[in-house]
Amino acid sequence: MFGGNAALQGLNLTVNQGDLFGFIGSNGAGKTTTLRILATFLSPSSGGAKIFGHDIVDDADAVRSVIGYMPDFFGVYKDMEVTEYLDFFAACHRIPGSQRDKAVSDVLELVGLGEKRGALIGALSRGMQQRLGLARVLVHDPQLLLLDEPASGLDPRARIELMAILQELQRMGKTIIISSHILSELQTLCNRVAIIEKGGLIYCGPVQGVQDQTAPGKSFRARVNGDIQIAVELLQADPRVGVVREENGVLKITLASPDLDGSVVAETLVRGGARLVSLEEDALGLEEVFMRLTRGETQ
Amino acid sequence: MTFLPIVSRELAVAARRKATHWTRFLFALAGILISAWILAMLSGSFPQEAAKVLFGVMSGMMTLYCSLAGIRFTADCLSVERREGTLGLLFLTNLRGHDVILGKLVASSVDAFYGVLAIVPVLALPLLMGGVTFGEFGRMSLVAMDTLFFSLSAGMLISAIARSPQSAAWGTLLLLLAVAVGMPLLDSHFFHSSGTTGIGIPWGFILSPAFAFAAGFDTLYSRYPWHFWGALGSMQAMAWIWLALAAMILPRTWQDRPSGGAAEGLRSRVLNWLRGTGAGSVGFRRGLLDRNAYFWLSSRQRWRLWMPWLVLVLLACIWVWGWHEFKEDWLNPGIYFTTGIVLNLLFRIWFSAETCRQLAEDHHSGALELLLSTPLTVNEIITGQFLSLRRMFAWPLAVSFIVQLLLFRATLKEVDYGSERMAWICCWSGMLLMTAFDLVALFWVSLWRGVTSRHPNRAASNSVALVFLPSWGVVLMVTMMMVVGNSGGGDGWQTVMALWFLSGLITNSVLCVWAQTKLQQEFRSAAQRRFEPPKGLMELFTEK
Repeated sequence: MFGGNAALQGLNLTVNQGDLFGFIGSNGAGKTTTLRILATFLSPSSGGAKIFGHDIVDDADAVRSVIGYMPDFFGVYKDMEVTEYLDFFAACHRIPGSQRDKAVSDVLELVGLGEKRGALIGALSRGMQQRLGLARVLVHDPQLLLLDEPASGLDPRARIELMAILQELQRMGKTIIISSHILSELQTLCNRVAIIEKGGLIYCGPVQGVQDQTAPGKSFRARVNGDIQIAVELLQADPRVGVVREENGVLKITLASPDLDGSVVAETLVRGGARLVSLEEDALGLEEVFMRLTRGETQ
Repeated sequence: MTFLPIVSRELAVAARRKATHWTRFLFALAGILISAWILAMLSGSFPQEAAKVLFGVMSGMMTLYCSLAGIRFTADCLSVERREGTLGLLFLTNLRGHDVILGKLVASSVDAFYGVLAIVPVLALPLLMGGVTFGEFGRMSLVAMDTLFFSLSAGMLISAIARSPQSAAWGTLLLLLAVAVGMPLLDSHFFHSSGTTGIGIPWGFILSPAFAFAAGFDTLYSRYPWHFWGALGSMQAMAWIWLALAAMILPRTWQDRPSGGAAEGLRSRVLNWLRGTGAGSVGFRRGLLDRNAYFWLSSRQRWRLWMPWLVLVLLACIWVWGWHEFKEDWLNPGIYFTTGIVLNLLFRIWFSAETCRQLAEDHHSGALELLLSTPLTVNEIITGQFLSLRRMFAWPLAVSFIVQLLLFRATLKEVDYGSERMAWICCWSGMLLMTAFDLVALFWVSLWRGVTSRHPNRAASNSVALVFLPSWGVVLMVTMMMVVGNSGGGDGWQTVMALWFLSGLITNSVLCVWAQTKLQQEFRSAAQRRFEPPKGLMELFTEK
């Protein structure tokens, strides 16, 4: 609760070990609050959460030792060197002095900052500071990473490199919860996603399954030679076809049931005498799904 | 186009702010209380005499406040925007240097200006009692306003150059001390006032608020009116020069410098020198890190350790200069005790500032959030800060206490009879004991204010005010009541002293418990309130 407002309401999530879990929502939806609660930075006014069996309120110290939290905006000590900074956070995580040097070197290599170990943090670019933030999160080898908008403000190359690092971390067995506004990247990166709005959960599950939330059946794009209106009328007359619309000479078709496939479209058009040129499944992007879900089309 | 667009916007913002109105009220209240206390103390004197003393003390305090206002109000107003990267946004518009400078000057100083404005009617009280002329009243009001502008402009100039809040505050203090104290000292003691300006003012005094203040009284003004107007005019001119310099400098300093190159190399070398790069220094720092990570964080800049010693040496130099200059006259209990007061006050304020510095900076930058997501506990943070303070202040404070004990002993040698001896014993023991208690209270209160305040300098000034004001408020009230009720008698000071000590002890104990409880229970929640709007003055004491 913030003042009289509930930041989160009835949010029930399970993240499996080894998941790369995307956390999606509009500004103010409650993503950061959720991550802050999981990072033990905020105490929930009611409800709770467990991370690897540790309760975030009663066993907060144990939780902090297994998580790595990277806020959306984090302060850095600009007058510190890169290795000093990581050495300091390694000490905060109680890594013995004899093991800190290796831990710091390993994470610097992992995030591609090996050549910057002696540089002052203030002299690093935004992308490098973001990598340093990721190195900080990894320095104590946590099992769970909580990353709040880690790609914000990064250029395309830095974003792609960051996503590659995250995929590598998933391969290493880390569980990662990542919130981001760049949904196209989450779509390819994550195996599971959750969409929240106004503190409540709208969807939680595999990325592929999210499309089922917005459309009753599969969608297709078709091109025909000849009069396109005839093709539209043919499809509209078929009860197995849900929605048909024409956009710039392309037919956009949504079937009435998830059990049907593209052969329905082909069969209807060919039998009706239309000359079908191409037919391809039109997979909904995560961005489109998100827009539909959070604009009330399915609520 | 609106003339000076930032000025009009900032005035509108200030008009909506609660603090603007509270400041006026509190200043007027403080002025009335202090005036009432002074009048109560002088209840046996003739009204004209009492009025003169009241006017002198009140206008002196007001001038002193105005002289130091730049440190509090403007010293960090531009540097904070530079640190946060928002200064550049202003210069990406059509605004020019003078727009920004005047806008920030108005925005930052409106509270200070209203505060002085609220005191001016209180200053007029002696006018009604007689003994003070309307001319004196008018001149002192002018001195206050002129000094305020002078000090705020000095703060603006330093703020246009500085980056950190500490360097901004110290820079402004040094600039003001240099022109208001340093120049008169140089002139009178090294050059023996050899040169004067065209209107007869020794050149070294021309920018001294104290000189303008003294020249404003009828006794001097009737003989040398141009001394007053000359000092006032030159301060005004210098203030405008400082503002013009700030307006010229700021557009050239707001941009980030490109990294790399000679400048970066120099910066890197300076930083390395400041923290030490030898094997011994590195090994020592590693030891600190193994002991307590926050201890390392808070004390990793070794130059901070040298500062208390530097200040002690400077004070010793001033003391030796006084002894050399005034010979045996310098060696008296009054000077001894004043030395003790200066030492203790300086160390208490500095101790408070250093206690909240790292926490307030980390809170402001968001780094505290990162620390709290690690297994580092609140107790470890507090312990680390304590160890850092002990490392920085333990020996300088010990030396300061030994010096004071020697001065105490010297005082007792000078005064070897009855009640006066007892008075000095009480004053010295009370001051030394209360300093120790205050340091404990300041540690806890400053830690808490460091976590909750948005600005390191304000965290420190709030902490000092919380610790000092209640006991001194009690002294004010009790003295007034005693004098008004005529119950003081000859030994009334003992009662006042005992009450001051007792109220100080109680205040410190309550504040220690309060701050410790807050730190233990609300440290984490307070640390994440970075983006909440600032609290009102009254909410400062009632915040949850």
